[in-house]
Amino acid sequence: MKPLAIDHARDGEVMVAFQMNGEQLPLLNGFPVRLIVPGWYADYWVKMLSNIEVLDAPDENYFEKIGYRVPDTPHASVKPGETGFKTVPVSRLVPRSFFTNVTDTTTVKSGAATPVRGIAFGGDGGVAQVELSADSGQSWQKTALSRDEGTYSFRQWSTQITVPPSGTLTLQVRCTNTKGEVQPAEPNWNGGGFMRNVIERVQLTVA
Amino acid sequence: MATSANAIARGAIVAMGVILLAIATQARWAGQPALAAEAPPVAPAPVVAGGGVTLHSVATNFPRSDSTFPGGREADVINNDCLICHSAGMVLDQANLSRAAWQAEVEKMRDAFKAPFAAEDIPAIVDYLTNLKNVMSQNARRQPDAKHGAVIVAQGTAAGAPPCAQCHAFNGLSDASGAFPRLAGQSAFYLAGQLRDFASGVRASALMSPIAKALSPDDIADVTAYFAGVDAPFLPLKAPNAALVKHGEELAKAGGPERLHCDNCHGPGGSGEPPVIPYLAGQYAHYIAFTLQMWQEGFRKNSPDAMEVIAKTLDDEEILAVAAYYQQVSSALEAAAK
Repeated sequence: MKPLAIDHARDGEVMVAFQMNGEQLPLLNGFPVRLIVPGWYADYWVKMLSNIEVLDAPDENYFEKIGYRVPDTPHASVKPGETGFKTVPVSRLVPRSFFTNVTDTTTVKSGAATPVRGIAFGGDGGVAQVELSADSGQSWQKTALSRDEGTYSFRQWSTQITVPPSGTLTLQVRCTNTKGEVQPAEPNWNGGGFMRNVIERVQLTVA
Repeated sequence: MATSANAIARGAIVAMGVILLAIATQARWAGQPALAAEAPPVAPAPVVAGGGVTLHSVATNFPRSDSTFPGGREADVINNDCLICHSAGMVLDQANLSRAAWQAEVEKMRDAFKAPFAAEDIPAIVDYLTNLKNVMSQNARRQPDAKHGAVIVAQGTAAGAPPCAQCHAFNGLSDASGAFPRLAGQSAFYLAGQLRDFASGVRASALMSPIAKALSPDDIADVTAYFAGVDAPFLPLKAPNAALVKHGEELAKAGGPERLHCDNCHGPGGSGEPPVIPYLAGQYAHYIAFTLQMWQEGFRKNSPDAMEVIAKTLDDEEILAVAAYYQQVSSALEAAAK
């Protein structure tokens, strides 16, 4: 059970879905009908939707008033153990990006040109750009993005790096969405683990 | 005039600002009477079409889990209250949480999710969960011995328990009179809980209470493991009253205003939700009706928040209807399969 402001529910993007890719929804995707709330957290994407109620007052149900809330602070971040901050219901998704072809156990060849790629999504906006840093975030280089399939679609990013002669190589990747929001360099924290989108990094071994 | 129109328009916008849509799935426990009242009491059509789109009902088999919380009697409360929704494995894999954290989790299940267990059960559940890692490390339990169970069923015990087969038959089918329930294939966890409740008197029975008291904990584990493992046929029974069956089916599948339907907990067609919830499909109508009356009259006290409440919403005709429906479910399924 989740509430949406009526203007949001009627914004032309929120929809009640009964088909996916031209077929009826699979059971695990919410057959027969589910709600789609693009750019917002999955707790709004109610599966097996059975009723929609118009309320004339703020919703007081558990998952609005007590559960699924985040600090009303930048990046929804507070210090572990901190209290006394204002909270709001978790709502919009945040931009994120990931490596998919390298991990902390990957060994790369000294001096070689090496392809690096992954995926990114913009959260409640499209993917505007994805950048890679090989120098602990001092400088960032743009990567190439796959075709834009629409605001809420993820996109593949790819680039090529030249591996240094020896030691380790730390790479970081960050996404900026079309609303100008960029992933934070410091880990953001809250009790529910919501909206965590700190810049991902991998440490490669050079051999 | 223009000013007041503006004021009205502003008022309307402000009012719109606080209008929210509440969007929900049917709550499993129908914690909100309003939702239950709105559920139409009709069985779903297999096909729905409109606007060029046709949706077909789908059938699925969810995986079943018979795993329970280890630890014997200490685990009784958590087994009874939590396995209705949770698999034991998922809970046993949780991190070591503080007592306060478990307390908050358990209260949330009751208050937010409307889990149907009594408030006085909370301390026992929290104790168990707080002690989880110790329970796991001491978990070297005796495995139930179904072969020894079969011996008890056939011969009784030296301590004075008569052979179960006297009334329930060796294959757990009892007999077509319906005076005794069918036990074949019923969950061992459920059967063992009933035996302990007969012994303690939480479920009162002049016949079963002395028998249950004569069984040791190991005997109970063995006998119930035996009956749970029996794959027995369904006895041919007298053709049921079609109108009564139809009414029973409606109650079983859709319930009624502010009332849960039986299948909500007992599974589709009363197929059971083991290990906690017994099957009703193919159970004798006479026994189902009798046991619902036992709930109504307070002779069974081992599900005060669920079955006692539900039984008291049924009148005599409705009891006969659901009983007639469930008795013929399995034979109907077997006939359809031929």
